[in-house]
Amino acid sequence: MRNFAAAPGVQAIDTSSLEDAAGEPSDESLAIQSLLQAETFEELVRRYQNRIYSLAYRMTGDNVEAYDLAQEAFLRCYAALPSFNPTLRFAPWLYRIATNLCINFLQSSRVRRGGADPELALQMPDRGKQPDSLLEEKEQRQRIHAAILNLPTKYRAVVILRHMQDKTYEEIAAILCLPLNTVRTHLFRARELLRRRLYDTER
Amino acid sequence: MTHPELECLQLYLDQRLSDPERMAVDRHLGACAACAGRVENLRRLVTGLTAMNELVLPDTFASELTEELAPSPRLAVDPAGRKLLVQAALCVVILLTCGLLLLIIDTPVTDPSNDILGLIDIMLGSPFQERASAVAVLAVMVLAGGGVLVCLLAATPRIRPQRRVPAPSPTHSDPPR
Repeated sequence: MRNFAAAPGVQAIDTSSLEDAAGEPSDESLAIQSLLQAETFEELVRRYQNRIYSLAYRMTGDNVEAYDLAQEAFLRCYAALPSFNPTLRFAPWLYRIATNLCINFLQSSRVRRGGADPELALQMPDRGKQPDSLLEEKEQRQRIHAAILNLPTKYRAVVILRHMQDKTYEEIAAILCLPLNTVRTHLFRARELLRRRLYDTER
Repeated sequence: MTHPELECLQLYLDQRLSDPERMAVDRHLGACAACAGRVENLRRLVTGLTAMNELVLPDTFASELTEELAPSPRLAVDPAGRKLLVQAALCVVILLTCGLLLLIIDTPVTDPSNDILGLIDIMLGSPFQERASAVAVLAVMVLAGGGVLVCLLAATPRIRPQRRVPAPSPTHSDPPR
């Protein structure tokens, strides 16, 4: 088995304990089992499918392309499993594959917009709110989503990973293979652009 | 009054400042309405970003994807093995073709032009006795063609899953955009 070079910020794990607190097999354990049994990979896909799909959708703004990119990310992940080092975290590794796919896609000329409204696919909890406030919330989400899509790709990736995927600066640096200071700068510029576009009343 | 940099305010919100730096910003925000407003704007932005819903894929996504990964009998051979198989099949086809051609050429033919061109002449128009050679050549060509077809099928790459569009959730209450 080939070793996967440890990226900065990718936290090493203790392989002697491959179960999480709830007694469920860890991602890394499932990744190892998937090498022998393709069906085990299904559980890994199930754990990450919505997060990877959401990442792809926020990056591309197209739910059909996002679905395709999510599929592609998992297929590439499966194909690259023999090179996965189980002493490292699985999630940053998968995120790196997915993010690179999205960035490559955006840099290619295949980008198209349209398709069904992705908001239709949302499963929102009923918080007992009035329809007006729900509508306002939806409009707000759409404004933010549109503003994110107007960001340059490198800023977009950072802001999505930080605020929608709840990643730390260190994790983002590991996923995007960027120095920590670059992540900080990209995040600052991305949020400044978003703030000016969405809420600026100072100018 | 020296205002903190905007980047410093962002780091303050992300809780990435050291304790002394954070306390200095706290003190400044208590005294500067402009910076407090900037922080409030930033906080609103961060809240809006984190409140973006996670999109949900159909439950069948994982199972359908895994079905595509499960090896079928033909795909059970690994890529290196498949390459070897194709090479072996090609060798068999070439040997078979050469052997049969040699057999045909060595067969005594009444026609004086006993070579490949002669055989083609025979194929184009000849008496019954010589037509047997033409049939043999035809059989060799069919065999070779079949062999190549088998090789191509064996070398066919893994079939990728087709694009599927997630079905809209019927339980969703928001009006379409």
